[in-house]
Amino acid sequence: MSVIERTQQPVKRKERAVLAEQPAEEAVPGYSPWPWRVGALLVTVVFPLIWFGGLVTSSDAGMAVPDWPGTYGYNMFLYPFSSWFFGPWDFFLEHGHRLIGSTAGLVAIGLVATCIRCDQRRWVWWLSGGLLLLVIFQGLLGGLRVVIDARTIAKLHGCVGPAFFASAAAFCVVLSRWWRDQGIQASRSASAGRAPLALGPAERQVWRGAHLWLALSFTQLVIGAFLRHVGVDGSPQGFQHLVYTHVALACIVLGGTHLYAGRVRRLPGVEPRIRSAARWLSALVTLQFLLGLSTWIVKYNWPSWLDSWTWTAQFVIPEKTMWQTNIVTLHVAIGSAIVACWAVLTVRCWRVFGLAEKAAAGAELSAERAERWQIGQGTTG
Amino acid sequence: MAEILRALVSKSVAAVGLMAFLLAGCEKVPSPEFRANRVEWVKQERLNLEADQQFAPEYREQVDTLLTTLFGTPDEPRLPAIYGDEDPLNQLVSLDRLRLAAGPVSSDEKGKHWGLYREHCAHCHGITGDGAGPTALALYPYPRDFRLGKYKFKSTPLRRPPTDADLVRVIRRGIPGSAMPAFTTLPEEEVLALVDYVKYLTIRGEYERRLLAELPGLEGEPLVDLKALRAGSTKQATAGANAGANQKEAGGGSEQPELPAEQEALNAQLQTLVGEYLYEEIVDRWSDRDESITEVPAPPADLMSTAAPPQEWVAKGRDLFFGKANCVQCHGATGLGDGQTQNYDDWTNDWLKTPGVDVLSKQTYQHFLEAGALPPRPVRPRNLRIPVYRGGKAPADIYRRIANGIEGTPMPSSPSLTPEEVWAVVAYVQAMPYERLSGGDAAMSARPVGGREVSGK
Repeated sequence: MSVIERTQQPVKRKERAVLAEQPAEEAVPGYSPWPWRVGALLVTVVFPLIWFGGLVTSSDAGMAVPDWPGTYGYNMFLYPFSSWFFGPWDFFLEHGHRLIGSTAGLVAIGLVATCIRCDQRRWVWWLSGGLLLLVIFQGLLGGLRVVIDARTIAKLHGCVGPAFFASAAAFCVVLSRWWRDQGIQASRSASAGRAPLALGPAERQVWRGAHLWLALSFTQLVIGAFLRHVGVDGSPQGFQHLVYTHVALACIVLGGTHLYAGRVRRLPGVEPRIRSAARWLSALVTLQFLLGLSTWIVKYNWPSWLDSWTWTAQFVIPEKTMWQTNIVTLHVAIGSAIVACWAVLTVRCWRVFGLAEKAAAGAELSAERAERWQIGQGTTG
Repeated sequence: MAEILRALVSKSVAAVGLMAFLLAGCEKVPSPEFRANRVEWVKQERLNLEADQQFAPEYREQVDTLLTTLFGTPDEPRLPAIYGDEDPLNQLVSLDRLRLAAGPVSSDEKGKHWGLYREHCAHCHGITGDGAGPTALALYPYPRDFRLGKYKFKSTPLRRPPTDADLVRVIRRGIPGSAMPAFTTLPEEEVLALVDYVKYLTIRGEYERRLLAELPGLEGEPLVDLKALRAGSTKQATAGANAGANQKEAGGGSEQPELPAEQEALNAQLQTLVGEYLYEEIVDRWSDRDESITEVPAPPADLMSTAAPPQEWVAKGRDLFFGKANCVQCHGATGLGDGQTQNYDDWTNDWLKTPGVDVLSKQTYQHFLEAGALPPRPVRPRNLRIPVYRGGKAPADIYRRIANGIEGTPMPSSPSLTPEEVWAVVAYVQAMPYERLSGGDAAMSARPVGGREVSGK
């Protein structure tokens, strides 16, 4: 085998790989905003769903409706509105949570249908199907939590909800016009011979960092779910370890997110949407840290080493008041929003840096082709 | 298009089916059970047996069976009620209220709640009322362990149980600066149900401790004949105790129907175990609480004539604080609570005072920690320079704290002080937050000085 033949083989493989990774919409530039709109509607429905779910746990209202999928023998959707809306608070929350959850399921079905109808990317269809499965799974978990009254299922339910919310938010990025425009822009740059975005170590750090902080934020949320759903027969040592881990990880995520946002800010020519997501994350994580402290105070009072001040020593925990339940629930909801924000940022990084990587690979490929051509010219000529 | 849609639908259905199948495998989770008092068990072993000896494990089963027979389970509480409708325990605790407070958390369409104890209390106080719920280690002070039958803030003197009103008050108002919340939004019916459940757990816990204290004296004999106990229903078991009790009341002279020897032996055992240990020693103590409330005498007229305590009363109280009442020993010369700070409360001392245990050496009490005891923490005397009083800030509340002491803590009662002297100490305690530590004896500030300012930290 000649030198030329040896060099040609790997190049062909790389070429195939690059072509196979070309997004479908670049071949067909038509864009329908409908999938994005339905996706945005899903995210909009899921956030209050998480809020209601948080209130259900904060108010211990999980067993306010003992049957499932019905409600006190009624079909869930046919339960008399006035009895629910003007009924006891616990019942209002639990039944309301189920109604919003069902709405989210219906919107998820609508999203699959819209994606199949309006979006030609098959992988998008599969992703929308995956989201639908996830919301069905979450619904089953919610139902089983009631039927078998199990804390473990409640913990899982408390983790899958935010995971679904984050997935739906990230999926909206894929469905957005921005995603399409990024592809078109990259294609135009390539055809115009403009240099692609330089993918240096700083960019790669931002790209990898998004994955790391997404994973850590979700881990933090999982620990939070375990803390919230601790059983009455749990061990004091187990709870204490969870608290220490949650606090330590909170400090790590707080510091890490600010460092990450600073790094993104300093990155020259970074995509504005990545920058704005990082800015949002800085603000949300700071708010979340303060909410975490507030949650501890309204649940368990100020730390004992602060009791030399009158205003801390005289504080009495307002159990099951609107203040307490809403502060705790806000902590839960912002936790989900942070994970969703990291998921959105990560997907944006994939798009921006992924395209840059492909463009760089394409440029490399062109250079190799040119080199090969030159070598070919030299040998044949 | 249609093919893809079909594939998508069929795969989704298969996946959901698989999830449903996996989740359907989950069985209903068993309810939590009362935890055995292993700390008391270990303590009795250490107190009464050689270092390498242990109680026979059968005793644990006997104690548990007796407790379950008499008191039921966390889901289905029960009361012995051996004296029928006139049973003092039935008058002390309502079974209907217990059922409201016990069991798993749930509610109905009308908003009626069940499982109140697990909803509001068990995460800190524990399912058994042992003060070792999952959150206990993260809290200061530790949540109350009901099983010793001791309560800090009450209107009754030391060694007397609190009244229902005392318990209602703590539940309603909470305890400032602690993890005990104020349940202001609970309906009256639910608060009373919680009060009854707390009494139920307390009596059950005290009774368990009493039974365990009996083990060393048995010398290998069974505590109770389990076979006979299990053969009969609860009613029969309690009727046995009742028969014994009636016989005792009648001086043993009344005619009783002849019973099989086994049943008669069980009755005799139950008469001691239930009639004596439970009713005479524990329930009776709880029955006449209202008569033992400490009456607060009216304060001297000139003490109440002004909004702030008059200087002569404050000066008198200060003398008592540093002298006869000896408050200075724990609360310190500054009143910041920096006097004697290495005391422990009764809930810790209960096992910490066991021979061979040294608080400075964890190895000596590791077996207690393994049995479920919470690590010892010294009690911090109250900082009297801030106007916050956990048992209530009304003068009558402070009077009771000084006159009666605080049960379970190193704060003693003051039998040597006259009512007038107690009022003088109340006056000084109320004035302390406004008293400057420098700038003259009687220098008063217009607002609370506060510990941090005083100590200059």
